[in-house]
Amino acid sequence: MNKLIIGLPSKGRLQRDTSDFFARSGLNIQKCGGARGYKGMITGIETVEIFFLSASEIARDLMAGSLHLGVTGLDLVQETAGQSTGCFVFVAPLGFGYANVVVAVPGFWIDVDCMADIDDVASAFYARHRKRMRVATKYIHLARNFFAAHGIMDYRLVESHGATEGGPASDAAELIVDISTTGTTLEANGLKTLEDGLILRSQAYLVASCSADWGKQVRSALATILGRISAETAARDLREVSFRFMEGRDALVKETIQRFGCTLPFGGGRDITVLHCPEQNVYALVAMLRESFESGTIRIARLDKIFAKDDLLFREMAQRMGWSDLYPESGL
Amino acid sequence: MTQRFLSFVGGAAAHAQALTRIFTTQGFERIDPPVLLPVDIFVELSGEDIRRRLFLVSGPFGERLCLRPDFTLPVARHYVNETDRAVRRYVYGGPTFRCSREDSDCSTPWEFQQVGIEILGPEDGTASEIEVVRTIIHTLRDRGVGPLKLRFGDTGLFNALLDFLKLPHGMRRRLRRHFLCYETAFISPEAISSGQVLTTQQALTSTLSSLDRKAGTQLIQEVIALARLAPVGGRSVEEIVERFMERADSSFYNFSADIGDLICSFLKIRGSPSTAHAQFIALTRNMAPDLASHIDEVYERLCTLQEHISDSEGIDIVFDAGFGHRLEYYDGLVFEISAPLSPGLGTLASGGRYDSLLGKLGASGGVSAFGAALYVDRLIRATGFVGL
Repeated sequence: MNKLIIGLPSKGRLQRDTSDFFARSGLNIQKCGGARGYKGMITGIETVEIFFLSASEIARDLMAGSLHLGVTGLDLVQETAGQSTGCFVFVAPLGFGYANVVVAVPGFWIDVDCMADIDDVASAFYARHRKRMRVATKYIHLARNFFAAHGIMDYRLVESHGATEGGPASDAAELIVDISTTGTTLEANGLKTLEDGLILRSQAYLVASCSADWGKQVRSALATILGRISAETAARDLREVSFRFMEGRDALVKETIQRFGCTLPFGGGRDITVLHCPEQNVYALVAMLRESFESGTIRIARLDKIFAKDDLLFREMAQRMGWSDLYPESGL
Repeated sequence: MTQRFLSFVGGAAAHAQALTRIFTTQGFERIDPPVLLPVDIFVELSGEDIRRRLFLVSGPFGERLCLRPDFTLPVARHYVNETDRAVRRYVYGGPTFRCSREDSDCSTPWEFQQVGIEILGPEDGTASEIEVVRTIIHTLRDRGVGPLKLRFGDTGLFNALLDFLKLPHGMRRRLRRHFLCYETAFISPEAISSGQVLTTQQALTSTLSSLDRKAGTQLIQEVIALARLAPVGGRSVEEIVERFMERADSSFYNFSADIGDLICSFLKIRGSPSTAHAQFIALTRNMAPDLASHIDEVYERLCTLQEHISDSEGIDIVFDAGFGHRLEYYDGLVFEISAPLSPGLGTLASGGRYDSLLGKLGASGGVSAFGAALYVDRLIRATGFVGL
């Protein structure tokens, strides 16, 4: 029997966030063989198998096609994609694991603010020392492309896995390209970022492999998983707004919906109007309702799950993969 | 994924060996540089970006090696390791391995055969230029390649322009490197003038411009100490001071926008040697009049070269100021030869002068080095001719 194989981070913050996210989506992950096991399953869904791996292994295995789905950082996917010929689909950003891939230089380089300075410094360094300025990083591909896009040539990359930010202090490199969440680690190591040195804004993504073998059963399991994740991600960003419907105000309701990016999930009711409104627009919407609809209570509620009739995540995925049978029997 | 590595031409290896033998009968000494070379020598010479054009190999003990992407560097190393510095006339031939620069370029195979000749160490550099270019042209003609187009450039001329314009040193270095690596891709009037705008530390920079070096150094050191910043990595405080002082140099502020236009117009000049010569003189008459003698010298060399090679019909010579050869070894005259009747094939042969490379590899004193290589696979395609 073919199972849908999902790779999830095996340790650290990313592991906890992923596990929480899956739990919120009604997907409870069970580890097989106790807490230290490397395999797992999802309660109640027999057709899914979980592998616990490091985030970079997940990116690599997605390219190779030995995983169908995986949760890993955008940074690692982009980096791995640049070094292999596999193919992948970004299914959804997950709203955690935010971090930036940045260029960072020693703070005492007070003459350096931007990438053009780096170019200048790099060629001066080569002219003076007769060797290339060293850039320590694990993001070989991202760094090389970024530097090339800025026309910088007089440098060399030094591969560094772990504690990259210590590179300049230990004289292993002159500057670094690294991932940074808040910048505190960089600062603690006497490094600063550059105003145009942001290479990539990263967060955790749900990623699918196109190189994997997507049989019918696997697709069916995917529909189940994506259905639940869609229900969770859709609910995460929306608020439900309810208010008493006023006779003769249909045009105004229509305008409100358009202006604030809302939907009418249950159509126009006769008594109570129920809107789904993007979270960031809620207060503006309330202000507008207050002005136009005179009185009455307006209720804003958080949503737990929204199962749409048509699961967008799955449909996009099917389109990207060119699957003709869009909806295999899905067992929600 | 295209299978470019399969697209090499059958028979090219045998053809390359046969060509090599022909050159040995013309007084060239055959050498066989290694295929497997340390990656570092290429990265140190050309910068990080070269790595993506290399085929990398790891040794069992972690050695980082690559398959040779061209012959110039291994041949130069061979010369530096020779016991004496006599004049050497080398010929070599064999496979080279290089990814094309653009991902979309599917016409260039990754593995291709090159045969080339290099003359190292002579007193008279001009004579070796004539000999190499003539020999390559004759070889192409003997194989029945039709009309030829010779495109010349001179990276030394561009360097001289930058010097005569008295640009800030940092800018000269950067423009040189951009020209050698990307030709004109990164060089625009906007890019040249934007590199001049100081957005921060204007007060500091203008203060420094009124100080001598010693006082300037002290000021910068105090600023760094005040901010409690610790020097780390291989770049020293002196280097920061130097860069500030360079920026504080008054020429930095007097930099006119016309210079950006001049440099870009200069790089766009192309035409027959006499047309190009007239254009160079006209363009630089006002802003860099001292360049004229340099321009004349390049022109005279080209004329001499033209006399020696145009005894055969059907050779079109173009001088292109924007031609930088895309490999950074070259520091003087560069050239490439194509067959206009087979435009899809690209360059059939190319070469140039690389005197300073030998210095970088450790040879002492000025050594003249000039050479060129034939792309054997393309040659076979151009002529449909495999046997000899």
